[in-house]
Amino acid sequence: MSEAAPRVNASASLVEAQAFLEASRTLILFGRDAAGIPAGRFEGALHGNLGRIALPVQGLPLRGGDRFAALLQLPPMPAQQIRALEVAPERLIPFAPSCRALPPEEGLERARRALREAPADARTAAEPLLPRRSFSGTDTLPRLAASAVHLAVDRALRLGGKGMLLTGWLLDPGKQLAALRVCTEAESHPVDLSAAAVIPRPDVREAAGVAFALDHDDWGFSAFVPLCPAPDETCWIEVELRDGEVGQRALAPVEGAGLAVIRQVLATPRAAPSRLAAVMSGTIGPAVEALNEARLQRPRDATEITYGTLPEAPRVSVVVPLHGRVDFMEFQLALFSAAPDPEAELIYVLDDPRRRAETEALALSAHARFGLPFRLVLLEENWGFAPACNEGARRARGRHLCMLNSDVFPQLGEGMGFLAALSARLDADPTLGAVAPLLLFEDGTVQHQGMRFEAVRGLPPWPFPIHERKAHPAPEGAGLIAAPALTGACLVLRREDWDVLGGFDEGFVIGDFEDADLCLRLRERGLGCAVDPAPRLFHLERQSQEEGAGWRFHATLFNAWRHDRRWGAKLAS
Amino acid sequence: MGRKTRVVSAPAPRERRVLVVSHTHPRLTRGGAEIAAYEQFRRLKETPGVRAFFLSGNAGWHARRTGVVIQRPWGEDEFLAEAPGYDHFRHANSSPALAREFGELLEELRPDVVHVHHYLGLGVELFQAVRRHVPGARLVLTLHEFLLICNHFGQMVTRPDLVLCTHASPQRCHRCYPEHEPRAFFLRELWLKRFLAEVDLFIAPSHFLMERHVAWGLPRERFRVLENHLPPHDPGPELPRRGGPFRAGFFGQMSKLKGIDVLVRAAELLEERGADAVIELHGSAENQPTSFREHVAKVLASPPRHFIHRGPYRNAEVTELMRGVDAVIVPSIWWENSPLIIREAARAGRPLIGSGIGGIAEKLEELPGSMTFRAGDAMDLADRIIEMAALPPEARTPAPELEGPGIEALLALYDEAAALPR
Repeated sequence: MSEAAPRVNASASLVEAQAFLEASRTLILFGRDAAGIPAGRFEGALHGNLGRIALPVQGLPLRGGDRFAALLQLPPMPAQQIRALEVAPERLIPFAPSCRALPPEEGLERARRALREAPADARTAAEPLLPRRSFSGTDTLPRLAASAVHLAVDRALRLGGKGMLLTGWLLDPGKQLAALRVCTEAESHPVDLSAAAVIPRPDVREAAGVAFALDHDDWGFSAFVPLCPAPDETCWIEVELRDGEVGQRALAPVEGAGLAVIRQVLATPRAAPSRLAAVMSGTIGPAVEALNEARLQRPRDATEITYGTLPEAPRVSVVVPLHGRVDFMEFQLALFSAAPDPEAELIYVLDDPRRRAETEALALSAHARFGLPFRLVLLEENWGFAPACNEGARRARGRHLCMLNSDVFPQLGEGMGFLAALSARLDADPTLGAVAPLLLFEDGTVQHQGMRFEAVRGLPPWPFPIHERKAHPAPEGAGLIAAPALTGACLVLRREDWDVLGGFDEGFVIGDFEDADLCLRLRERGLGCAVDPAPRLFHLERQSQEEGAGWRFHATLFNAWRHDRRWGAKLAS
Repeated sequence: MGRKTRVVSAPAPRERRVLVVSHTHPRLTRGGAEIAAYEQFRRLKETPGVRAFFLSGNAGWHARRTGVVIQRPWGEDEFLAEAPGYDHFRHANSSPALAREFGELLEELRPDVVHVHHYLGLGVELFQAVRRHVPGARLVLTLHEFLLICNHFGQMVTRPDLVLCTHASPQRCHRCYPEHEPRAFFLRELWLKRFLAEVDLFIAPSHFLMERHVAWGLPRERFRVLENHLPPHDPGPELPRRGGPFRAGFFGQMSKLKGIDVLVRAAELLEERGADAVIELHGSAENQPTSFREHVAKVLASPPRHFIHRGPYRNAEVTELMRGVDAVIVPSIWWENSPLIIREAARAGRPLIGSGIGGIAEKLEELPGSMTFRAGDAMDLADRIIEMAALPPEARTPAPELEGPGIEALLALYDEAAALPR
């Protein structure tokens, strides 16, 4: 506590009125001349007759700087006479001798008005200090129609306790909207429309286009709020206009869970390139992350069937997740059977419960025709690429693991020969963490010869794995080709390393970036990655039809966003 | 206890066991491939020192037996296999029951040679089954058309325009079948070749067929050209020619690819030019798609004056009917392999006029007195008919009979197959 008398600043700033809200211990100050008042939260202090009390302050410069408001939450303290607000170490704003003590209701009303005028960031930070309006349960949104503000929330999707995704539309031709927030009795969160995804709503334009002179369809939004009411908790959306008018409407959140909902969220229309990063980090990213974390908590039930007699102590376990095209298993087994590897165990993991009957029938038939032994793990639900791979690897017995996609096929007559070649590479070099074969397109040009990381034009500045020499002629020579990362379409590593790393990171969705991330984690442990150009397999990459699936783009972008947060800085350095 | 004395007798000349496989049985259907396969089986059976068996697909023609895939309705050395679950795109048969029973049959018969005439319906996996269940047996495959290369019924003509096609590729095939992605054709080829790799020796009845398959990637060193066996037939005595116009006869299925439209147009041209020649058509359109049957019915309702539809015929009548014409026409608009009709015409002693492409051109080259015309070109066909009609009958060279291979030639190929490195 300082004994020195407060030094009054030479500027004309002065606190002219104050109000104290007993329940929340919020002190609201109003004054003139905002020069030197920081906008938003700053570390300030109050100076009173008992000394200096340091505490955070929410500053709200108003009306181009002639006035200001400030919000403070007082700690428990003895009653005292406050004399000045410290806004910076050398800068005190005195309380006017005529400083009025406003009744709490009036103070609150003036503070709310001040918030509406304040810059958005400052408002967002200060708002939680004010007590929220209560909700009577009555829908008062229609009142706002007089100011031409229309809001509809078509769906509030609960995201596994981590937040909600609101989807609806908003018309505000007169720019009357001051704040939009989602509230419960306990909490309130602003809805950040600047990071919301834009959803075309031709129906809105059709209905209101003439009255409001709408010249495009982009009136829909999808926005994330980090607030998730309990299932029976009252929850409402609140719209506040610049003139102080407020409308409220109850929300009835619905539960969202599982990959299907994740795909739905990922299928959100693509934003303009300059907004992609904002929409991903503000809306799609947190929503998908919340949904994904929630779904991964569920128990993973699975059934396993063994066909034929497996090797007793396999050298390598080959894990192949199956989704969609299960018939690729038939092609692989047929081609593998041309040259079997008696030290390899094959583990197919069906990650598509709709295809269980078909897959079992195919497995039975493939075993009868081709005679190769293999294991078939049937997941009870669709878990996605990383969990399916991890489930398969968990059951593996080999000291090496080969993670293999179902659309990778050996060349004629080569069968399973690539496995011995890649195992030998691992055995020969303890500093090698993972090794992949050369993967070819149908026309014999390179599909995969290692991956490097690079930003992609038109996408947010995140590192993306780029395939080296894609569609170039296959390389000459037989020496290992070192690579920053390898594709998970076919890579061999030690099971021991896999177990230490915990396998593929399941936080990525739908099969993308897990491989790059795994390779970078191997590198962190001092283990390198390389391509062996001698064993060559075909890889029939996803075809355009699937790439065009609405969710595919955002899945990649989500994974890139996640990957960037983990590796962006390290890769840049 | 006294020791048993082993009686060692001189080894009997080793019996050669041959299993002939066909997609269907001539008792069920009358296509060229099954007739050839069965004829070969019949001759092998008559050959001393050979034990022959015949396995054919059923394809729904014969009554099925519940719980059994392979039945024996026609004696102990003939087998009829159900082929459920057939994939016509990849020529795969996913039936585990067929795989099991075929494997058991192979182990029971212990053939030295498995000679497959057609995998259709049974699935190319049967090649691997031979390797797995009778590893010592040699596998011989006779090809009858371009089915491995071309999904369009193995005809190597485009779909839907029926333009002659020279080679397959994922992109080209996708243009004919937009419903299958290019990569589906890539996989189809990979799949087929994986099983074809088990074959020791391929037999092509024409060089043309062989070259197409070699170009497709099958190993030339495993190919031999050998004609199929024709069932014996006594043509009877030749009767003197009756008078009237020059008669050019067509024999066979009235299908678009057999060149029916070319025939009709050529008949119109013959009429326009007042030629003293007619085209006779023997056969029917009974197995054709509805739209083409309707088209044929329309043509036959008011045919050109120089076009005579003589109706369907039985195979046993073919020689006699051919002797009733002055020349036999083979106007196919697809490549053909070694058309049976050419050999039948040769046996009937009639010259041929055929499309100058593929297997037809190759076979006609061996037949002096025969002529070729530009495939699909009715004008050229009409010219050739008029040209041949202008020759006095005694100047027309009857085609010499094409000798089919003896069974010894086949057995020699089996020995070659056994000598080829695997």
